[in-house]
Amino acid sequence: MRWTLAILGATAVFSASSTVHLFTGVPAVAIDGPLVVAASVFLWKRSREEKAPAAGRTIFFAACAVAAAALIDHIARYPDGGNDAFIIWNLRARWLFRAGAGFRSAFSPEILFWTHQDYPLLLPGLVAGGFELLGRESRAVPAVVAVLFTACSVAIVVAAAPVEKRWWAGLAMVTTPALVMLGATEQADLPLAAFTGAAIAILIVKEPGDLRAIAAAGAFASMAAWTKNEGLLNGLLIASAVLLTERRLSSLVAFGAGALPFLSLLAVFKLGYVPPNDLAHSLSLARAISVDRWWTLLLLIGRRIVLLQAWGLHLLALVVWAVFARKWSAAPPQLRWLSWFPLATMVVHLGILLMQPHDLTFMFKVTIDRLLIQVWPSIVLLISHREAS
Amino acid sequence: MVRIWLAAIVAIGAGRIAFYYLIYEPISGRRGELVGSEFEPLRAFLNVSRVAYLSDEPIDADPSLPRRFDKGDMMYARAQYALAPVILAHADRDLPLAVANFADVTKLEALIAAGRYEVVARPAPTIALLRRR
Repeated sequence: MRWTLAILGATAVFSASSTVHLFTGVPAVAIDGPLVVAASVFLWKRSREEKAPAAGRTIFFAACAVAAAALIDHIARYPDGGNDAFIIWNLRARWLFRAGAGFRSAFSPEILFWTHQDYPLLLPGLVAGGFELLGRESRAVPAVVAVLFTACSVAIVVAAAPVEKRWWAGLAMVTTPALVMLGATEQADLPLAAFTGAAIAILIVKEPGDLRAIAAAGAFASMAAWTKNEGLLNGLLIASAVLLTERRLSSLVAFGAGALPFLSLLAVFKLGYVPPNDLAHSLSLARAISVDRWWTLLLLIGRRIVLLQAWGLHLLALVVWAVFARKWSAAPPQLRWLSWFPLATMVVHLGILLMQPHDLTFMFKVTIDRLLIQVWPSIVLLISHREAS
Repeated sequence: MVRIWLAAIVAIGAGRIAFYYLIYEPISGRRGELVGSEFEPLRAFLNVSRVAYLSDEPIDADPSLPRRFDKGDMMYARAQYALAPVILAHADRDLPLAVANFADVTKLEALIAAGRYEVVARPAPTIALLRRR
């Protein structure tokens, strides 16, 4: 778990340092240098992690090999990634790299709004930083980043799941078709899933009252917020769960303190550089009370649950577990509120889907797998710990 | 019993991944071209920060309206991806330089024939860099 957290944290800081360098001129090494020292100390400390049983390990790694081969083969076939990869993420990375000091033009409202100029910069910053290191643009950089985050979103689940369920939890992740689909198309949803999963993992395995762990969870939640706008919602919901679980202000302060660096960067970016979010001004409550839209949404959800192409039988199994098997287990006390996080997130997302102005069926089809994968590692982790308890 | 069900779920997921990515895609020969490569020759001529964007395909420019022009949006996105960091100003047709990205070659020919623009570069029949006369 330490290695996964260190890799995730390092990618986020490396990306942020290149962005801070663009915004302020502060050399990136001034931020990366102390990070290398802190990460070394973090990794050098003796780990007390238990060894997982051998049973299931071979099957898990076989499934990993299949997923990795699929991921790499698809990226090789489509080297610019999926539509959102070149419309949003890789476009912004190219822009930051090519424009240098003139980077502000990347957020111009004159660009078509579908390129979402207000989206946070963790992924573009990381890819642009890779271009800087190489000294040129290469389609291999976003490809490597995509594979790395896909692997990290699986690794964080394997590392933080209860020892006896470790390989099963990993198998649940690595055999999810949507994981490979979204990883191979270089979307930002898997980085978001990995950071959110890391925050949840830390809160699951921490000792009661450990404020340093809560601060670390806050830091990873804020990295999620610096990845995509949805990450901010995730962070707020996780912070609420922390407050309701710990029932003391110091926990919230610790969570906020951990989140402060990346949230500050996000605030500067949102307030100083980018046009307002296009969706924020076009939501309508009237659309949310339309019976037609509710009916359409329910049908779409039902179909998605049994759609093998995106989720295999994983979503169906999740629904069956939630309806029939969940009552036979109880969440550990420290996870009682956190267990509601994935559901609360999806309820908010579905509410936004109802209120947005575009065709509901189209928007559902192009967003629902991404929204679900963002919380998928958290779901698998929370269920595995509930079942283990 | 639970383990059998879990094994079935895992096997179906892995099978789906293996079938689609490692059997179906290679057999069907699916391969995407490099996005926006058709615009790359224009980069050498673009030493400005903004150019107009002209097209016969409308684009969705108002976020408060339902999306209707997927084809036009994607044409714009491919061009912008290739030509960044030059802004393709879709709402400003009066700039001295314009990137024309048309779906119908006859409409681009008609635009050029109308005489308001001279052709600076034309890397493809439906794509041109134009300068206002």
